[in-house]
Amino acid sequence: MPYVYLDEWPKTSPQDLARKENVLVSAKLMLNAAFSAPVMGGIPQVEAALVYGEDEQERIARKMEEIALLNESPRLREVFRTEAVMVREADSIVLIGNYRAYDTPMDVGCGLCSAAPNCNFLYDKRKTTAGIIDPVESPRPDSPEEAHFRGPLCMCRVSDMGEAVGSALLVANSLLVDAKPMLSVGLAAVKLGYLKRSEVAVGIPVAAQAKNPFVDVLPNYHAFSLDKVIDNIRRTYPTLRQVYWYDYKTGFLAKKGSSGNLKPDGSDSD
Amino acid sequence: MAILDGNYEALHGSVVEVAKLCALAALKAPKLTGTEIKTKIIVGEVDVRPIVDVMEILGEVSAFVQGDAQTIKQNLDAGTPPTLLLIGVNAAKSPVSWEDCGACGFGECGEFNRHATKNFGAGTLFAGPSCMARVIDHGIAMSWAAAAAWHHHVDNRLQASTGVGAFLLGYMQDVSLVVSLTMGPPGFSIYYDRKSMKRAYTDDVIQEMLMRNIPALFQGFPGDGLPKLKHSKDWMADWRFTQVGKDPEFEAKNQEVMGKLQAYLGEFQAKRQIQA
Repeated sequence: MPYVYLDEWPKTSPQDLARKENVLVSAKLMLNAAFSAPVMGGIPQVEAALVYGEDEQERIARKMEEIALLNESPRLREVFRTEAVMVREADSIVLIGNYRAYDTPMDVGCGLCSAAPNCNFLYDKRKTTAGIIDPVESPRPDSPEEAHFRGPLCMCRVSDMGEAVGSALLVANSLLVDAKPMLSVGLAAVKLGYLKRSEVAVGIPVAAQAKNPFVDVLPNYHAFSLDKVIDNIRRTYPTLRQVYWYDYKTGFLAKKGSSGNLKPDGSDSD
Repeated sequence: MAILDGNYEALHGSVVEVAKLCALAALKAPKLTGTEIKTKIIVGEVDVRPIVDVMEILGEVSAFVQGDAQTIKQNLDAGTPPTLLLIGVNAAKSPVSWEDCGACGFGECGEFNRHATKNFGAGTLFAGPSCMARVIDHGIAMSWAAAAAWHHHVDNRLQASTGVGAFLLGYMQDVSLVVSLTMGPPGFSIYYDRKSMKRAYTDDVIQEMLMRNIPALFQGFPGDGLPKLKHSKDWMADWRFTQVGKDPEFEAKNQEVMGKLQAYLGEFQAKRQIQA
């Protein structure tokens, strides 16, 4: 079948899915870049996931909205709620996490997290067995009820993750697809267990649509999104179309200049 | 040896260099018909300021233009003027008997050209009438220029609003369609999610704007034939409606703005002649 028809409307129509397939190619190339990104010492520490499809994106978006309510700051609530809309509007989601930041730190006493030439600040907050951070006794990353990452994290590892995210974004940039790094998405993904071992992650929704869905939004975007507008038209229009009781076969429109528009005027009937 | 700070003074020159690369991209861009693309780079406050002035006047009746004007103005005031790459084309002249494609509404290119010569005029944004092939070529050129800026990581936005300002001031000759690729100052995001427009509008203003533009979102039960708008929690008691009607206030304002614009353009041209 050498014919593929692409469009971004209607949502999840064959043409929209075909377009999303293409965006997926870009997202996959972004993942290559994430893995080949420069990291300190070339130590493997990055894991990644690719999530797409209405159901999966909805799942992440809802988790973000759940986390939004856990936040006390109204500003953060709005960030989580708005970015949840963006996750729904995206074509696919790239997730990049670091699975060493929590329990296998760099161990060089770099000073980033502690401002001291040792890693005590991190080790003091963990349960250890013979100095090794206990993989069972330390709480699992995907504990559901928290609105933030559990630090202190090894900032050397986090920095490396930043480079992985940056490489992925650079690929998106050169492929001319829109992408935006979001901590909110990363947090939701960690809580949902999409990244199996990571305590910290960044989510990158990716899209190739007429309007970059990740910029220039309205305040309270979750209430004023295009989906909401369309849904409200679907809600009001069925009622609206019947209140004038128009019979298209006889066409009894009132003559111009006749009196009211709520009561039929006898003189107007043909 | 030298130490270069990553500030405006050090990097502004690079933005101008990238603007030149974008201009190269616009000229090099593939064309349907070998259309001549015209570019001009506007650098520095002295030459950008009049464009902002014109946009500010137009912006009195257009929120979109006003937003662009204010963003650029703030950067001018902060001493970090953006660089404008004007990309223009004269679309009011068709390559004679190219295809006689009919898109302009005439059967033959010659007929279009005769019509265009007699009826050349400006609309609210651009001038016309336009040969479709020229317009497409201009579109391709804009796209290549924007992609060049993108690849060099300079924040940019294609703006008809800024293009209009430059067009009205006569920054480009022999063009009918000018769009500005507004670039820089160096920074993360100037033209998207605009920090410059932070707190420019109150909640109320935004909500009213939304109600005017997408009343369908706010309308309650439409069976009454006059749906009430959900403006606050007690929308059912405190009734608000949308209305269809003329707006004499807006019309008067529009008239006033056009007058102001004429006056400003006249002054600008006079000043320019004195300088020349």
